[in-house]
Amino acid sequence: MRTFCNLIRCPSCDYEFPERPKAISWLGRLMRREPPVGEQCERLRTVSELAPGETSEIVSLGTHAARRGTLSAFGLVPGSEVTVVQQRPACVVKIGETELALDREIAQEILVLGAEAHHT
Amino acid sequence: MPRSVLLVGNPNVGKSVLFSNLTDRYVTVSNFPGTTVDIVRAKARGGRDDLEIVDSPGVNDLAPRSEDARVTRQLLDDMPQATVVQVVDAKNLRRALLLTLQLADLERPMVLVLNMADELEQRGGHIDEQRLQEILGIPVVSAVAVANRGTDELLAALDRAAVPRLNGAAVGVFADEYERNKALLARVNQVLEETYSMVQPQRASLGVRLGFWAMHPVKGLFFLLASLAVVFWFVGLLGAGTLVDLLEVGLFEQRLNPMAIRAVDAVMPFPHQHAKGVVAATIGVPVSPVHEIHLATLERTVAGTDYTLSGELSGASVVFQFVHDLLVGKFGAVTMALSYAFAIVLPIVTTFFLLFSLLEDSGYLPRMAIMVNKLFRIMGLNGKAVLPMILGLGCDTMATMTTRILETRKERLVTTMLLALAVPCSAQLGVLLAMMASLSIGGAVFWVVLMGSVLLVVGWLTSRVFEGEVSEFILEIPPMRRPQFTNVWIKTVSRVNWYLKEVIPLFVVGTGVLFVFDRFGLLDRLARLGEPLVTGWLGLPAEMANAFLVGFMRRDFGAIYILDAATGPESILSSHQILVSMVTITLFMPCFANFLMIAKEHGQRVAWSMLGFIFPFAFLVGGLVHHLGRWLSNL
Repeated sequence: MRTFCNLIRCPSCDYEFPERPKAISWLGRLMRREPPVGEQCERLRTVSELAPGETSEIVSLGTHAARRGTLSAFGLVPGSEVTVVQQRPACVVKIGETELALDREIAQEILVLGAEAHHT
Repeated sequence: MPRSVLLVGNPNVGKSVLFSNLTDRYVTVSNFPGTTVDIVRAKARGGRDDLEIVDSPGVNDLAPRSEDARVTRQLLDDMPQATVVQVVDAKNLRRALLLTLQLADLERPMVLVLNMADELEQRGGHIDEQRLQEILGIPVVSAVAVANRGTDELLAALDRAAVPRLNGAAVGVFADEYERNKALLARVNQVLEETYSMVQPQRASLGVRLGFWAMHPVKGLFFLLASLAVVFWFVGLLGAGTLVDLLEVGLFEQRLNPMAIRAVDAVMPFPHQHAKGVVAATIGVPVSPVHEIHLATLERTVAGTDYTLSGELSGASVVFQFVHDLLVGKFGAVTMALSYAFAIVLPIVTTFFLLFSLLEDSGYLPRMAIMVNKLFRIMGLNGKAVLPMILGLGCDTMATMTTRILETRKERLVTTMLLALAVPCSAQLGVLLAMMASLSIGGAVFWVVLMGSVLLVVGWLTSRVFEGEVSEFILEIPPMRRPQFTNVWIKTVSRVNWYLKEVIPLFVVGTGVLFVFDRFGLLDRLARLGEPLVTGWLGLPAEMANAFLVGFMRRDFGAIYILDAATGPESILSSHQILVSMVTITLFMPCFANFLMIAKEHGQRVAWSMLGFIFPFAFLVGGLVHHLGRWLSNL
């Protein structure tokens, strides 16, 4: 677990989940501590951060068991490609030929690969 | 012993359409995922008594998390010998195969139907059916159910149904459904690589583009307002205005009523004379609540319901007069009940359901759900509740039944409450729109704003009072499709049918009650009893108590009564009084049928406590509007 990155990585399966972002304390700011731009941090984004028309690969679906079950039945599992159709008024993603509308809260917890990583 | 076939598949793949093709029974098909909540079974068509087809609600997987999945699993358990026909949306084969693998674990003879083959082709996709058949070990048939293509091939394939060679056991055992789905999908991907290929078409079809615009933050709003405007014009102006006028005056007042009066007088004569007058029906195309393009006026001199006695009554003639009034008097079964049912309710309800079925069939409703989702969150609901709410504009009873598609009990309760309280059902809506013609634009806007605020505030309050969670908004958006007119028509007819069967008996009974009360002077007594409330607090003429009395039985009956009072030949209500009565009758208690439905869905206690809130609330708000108006006019 890195101190200044907001992701927690599971030691056994290497999945990463966003942790609640910790504010840098005033002392830290005084000492000009900035979060180092680690490789891992750059490689992941949430679905809510994708622009309409962007495609990426799913890395993780978050931790709610019931929600993951529902989403997986639509074909949303790590490794599958998802395209964002729009973000407002609701997040709509396209997976295969299925369009799915999601609340912003749900979209914020689905992790996908970052921009650079995907174009490999 | 008839062989059974169970239709299974993802939501919105065309199971119900296929069911209609295979049997002669019609299942209400809608383009909103999750709406087949009842189980339907029928014999295959062509008098094949040896084959029974059973339809099931759509499921995405067999996990018992949702009502639909539980129902489907129950069906599978109840029918161990049945052949399982999985209906698949050909362009979404990946999701479907996930379900196939789960079904395969049950080791039943199966057939796969690749439906919507035309849409697959449109999108440049291709499935190697032969190879798929080899891998799965079951017959694979392609079909376009809405065009009734592939039905015969399916019937033939039933004999070749087999237990699938490929099943989920091969991927291993997992405790978590999510992990299992992941592993299954990995296997599915392998199958797809061998059978599915896609060439992206150059341009998105019009349907795809329309579907995209309908969810757009700006264009979607325009779509929403446009569809509301169409509802307003079609149901409110054309239906509630022109058609009602035509039927009420042209049919009933000019022809049916005089005929009925003549018939009754011939069979049961007593000395009296009916007043004759000229009755005019106008035919025109409505342009706004107060303007129309005039086409023709039909005038006729006919006998009306008023009459004067011209002699002494004794013996049989007293009875005759009683029956005469019962049938064709002021509160006559023909002159009031039937005319209200067929001249007023029928055109409004038909136009509403026609439009609603069109919207439903096109696939627009889930997009509407997206547009209203944020707003509905305030009320503790999510966008999916838009379906019962819009349906409530047609009939609240039907809409209360439809709340079953909502996932949590809390959402179902809040929606039921709001439907019973503030959503005016079709005849009411039509009447309200027609009455808006008599109000100023300001009054109409005030009513809309008031109702909207009541909905939001009461919704918010109710969601605070009831415990429970809101379900997450995960909604599948089906593609926009051109509505099939036969489908739309059949849906409209079946809904209107259902509605009329509900309404006519109650109208007749209600009219009978009014008649009896009138005979025994009870109406006057009631009017005097209700005076402090109706006249003092609401500022309406005492007679309007009748409207609330019949409003008990049917809200639309009460609304029509008010309409008569407001716009009939002897208009007794001022503009402001119209507004007050409109507000009160809209918020007024749910009609008897709706009350029964609420009790059925949520229990007696809930139904009575809702009633206990709604009844005083309606009068409270009505009175406040009245006093506000008085205060403003005194300034």
